[in-house]
Amino acid sequence: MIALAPASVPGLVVHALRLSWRGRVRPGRVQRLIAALVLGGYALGCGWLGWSLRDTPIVASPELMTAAAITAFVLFSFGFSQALGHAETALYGSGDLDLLLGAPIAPRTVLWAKLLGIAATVLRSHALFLLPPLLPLVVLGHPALACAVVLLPALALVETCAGLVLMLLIVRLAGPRAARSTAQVLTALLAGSVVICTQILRAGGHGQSARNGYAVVYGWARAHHWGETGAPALIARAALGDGLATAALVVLAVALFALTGIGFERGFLAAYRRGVHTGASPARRRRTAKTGISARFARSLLGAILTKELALLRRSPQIMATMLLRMIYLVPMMLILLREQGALLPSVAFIGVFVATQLTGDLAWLVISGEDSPDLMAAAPVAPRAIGRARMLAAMTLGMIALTPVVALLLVRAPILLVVVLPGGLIGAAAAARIQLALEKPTPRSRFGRRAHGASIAANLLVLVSALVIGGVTSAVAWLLLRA
Amino acid sequence: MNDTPALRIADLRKSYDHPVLHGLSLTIPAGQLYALLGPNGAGKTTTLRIVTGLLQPDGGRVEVFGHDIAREPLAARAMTAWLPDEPMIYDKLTPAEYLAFVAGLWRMDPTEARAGAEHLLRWLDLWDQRDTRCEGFSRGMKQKVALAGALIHRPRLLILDEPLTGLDATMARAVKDALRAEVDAGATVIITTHILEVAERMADRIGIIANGTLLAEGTLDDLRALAGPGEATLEDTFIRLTEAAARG
Repeated sequence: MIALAPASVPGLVVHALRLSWRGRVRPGRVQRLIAALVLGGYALGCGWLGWSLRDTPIVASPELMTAAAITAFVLFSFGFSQALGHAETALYGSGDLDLLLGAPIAPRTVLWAKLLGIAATVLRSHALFLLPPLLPLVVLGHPALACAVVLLPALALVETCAGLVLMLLIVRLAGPRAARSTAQVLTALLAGSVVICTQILRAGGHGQSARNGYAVVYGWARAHHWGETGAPALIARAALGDGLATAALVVLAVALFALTGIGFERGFLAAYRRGVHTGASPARRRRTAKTGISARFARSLLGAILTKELALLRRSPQIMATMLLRMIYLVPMMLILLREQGALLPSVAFIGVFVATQLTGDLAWLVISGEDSPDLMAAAPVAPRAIGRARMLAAMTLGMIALTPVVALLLVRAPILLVVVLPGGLIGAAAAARIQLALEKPTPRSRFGRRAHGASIAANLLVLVSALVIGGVTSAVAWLLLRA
Repeated sequence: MNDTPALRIADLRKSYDHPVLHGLSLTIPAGQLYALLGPNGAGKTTTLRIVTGLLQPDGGRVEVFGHDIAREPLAARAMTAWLPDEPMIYDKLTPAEYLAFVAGLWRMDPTEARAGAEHLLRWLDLWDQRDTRCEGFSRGMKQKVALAGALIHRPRLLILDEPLTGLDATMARAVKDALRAEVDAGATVIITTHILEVAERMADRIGIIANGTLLAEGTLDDLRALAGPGEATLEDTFIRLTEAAARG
């Protein structure tokens, strides 16, 4: 094994990759087995695809170019999101910049190492998903598609540039502290941007008959001849085996990466220093009460827990964004599926109950398992059952807020349906909270987005099933009520 | 005057993968500042976590002002405050919000709690930061917020595990003054510390434990006397007793 000098750019890149790899959630034995089965199945399926297409010519037809350009856009959205997240971590999350910039290493070396580390991490994700389908195709009859493999590092370099520049822009506009939250929310939104695009297109009347989001985007892109001209066409041609286009894109990506590194060196260091100056996670000064104390002193245990949870939620935009994103992914798909059955109001009833149940499940996890100070709760002179009840009620109260728009709509359109929607929402929320209470496993709140242990997975699945069943029953009763 | 001790521990036993407490017995009178000393792994924190109800003992009995923690856990906890070495606070809450939450957990009257919070925030020099989130605070500031949380419900028994760890001299003085003031106001304070000088200066009584049993207990003079004739310091006594215990 070649020993890399720790203070060199390659040495620091390897160091960054190692930290990123060790920072992932460690899967359990069952999860490892499932992952191996899924990856093995995926690799086999890709191998079979490569074998099946070995004699099929792959030419740059307009349809294929559009598909290739869309795939590149989807990849870019994920890679960009990842790069933004890693740039945020590099600046404020990893905590090793103090060490690196305090060491006798040129700041430029540190910056290049960080940039290459981000690019390598992003490339690893792309490679994991794209090499299994690409390599069999290349080996079994389509060597020109090696250009697509060559494009992956170029794509990762461009995504890194975009991620870093956006992060620095956020720091400049919002300040280091708000930058962390903003970047985390933007990372989640970018990752979901394709789904959001499909929903916007659907709302605009595109692809109503299409069953999946990719088909919706494809239909829109074909209608606009997207991918046939300009930059998207260059990318598509490169991905489909045009060597010259590939070389041009690789040169462009490397040049962009070099220019970004040189141009934003000072910006990167300034952003880091601003973070240090105010603390890595600096405190924001709220408007201080001129006299007395502005905090609310509750009369009851439920009030105290509710007040605390509301304050913590308000100040955790990443958690809010993760919860809302889940709704962005799930709800429109459900709505479309049900709307196609021609039952709008029962669909609304379903969505209301489904969202309230799911949201309560997430909130209950935060309130019950994601308690950051369990010793304080355990040392309080309150029976554990009373604390459990109060936490359930707090989660339900917050979760039921999600039902408000549905209630408002039904009040106008079909008030009779409230007879089933309100109890349905309450039952769903209570079920979700009860499930989280039963499967409680104390975990730091910061792990909300990465709940990978058994109890959390089981609880999430149970909450999802409950939401579907209770929402379904509510919807069916609503449909019967309307018919009657 | 009520002679019920603040804390009575009898034959307390606890094992993890190895025995930690071997029948520890200890009585701490009310209205005193008691320092519990011992080498690392002696069982100090385990003892205190059992007293506060955070750990279940394998055997023995613990009473807080006469309330058996096994039979009347809520009554015992209602008059106890626990301050571990890592402050139990929420980074995203402000000191005022944290105090409001703790007051809610102890079911205090809101008006009384608000007044108490204002007094504590001013007294601990946190008033100007009352509406600032704790996430940017230094360790000492966080420790003061946690101390305010421990004091807001006016505990009769205040238990602190290494309360001065990581504090600068000014902060440490502020915490020591606060503890002494609590004792003067009638509360009982139990602290563990590795800084023997703190115990020497502050404590009314000192207990030394090692290997899960009480080696010696008494006032500073009582312990010095144990070390034999001469000008023995608490450090001399501590080392002599714990080394003898280690030799068995």
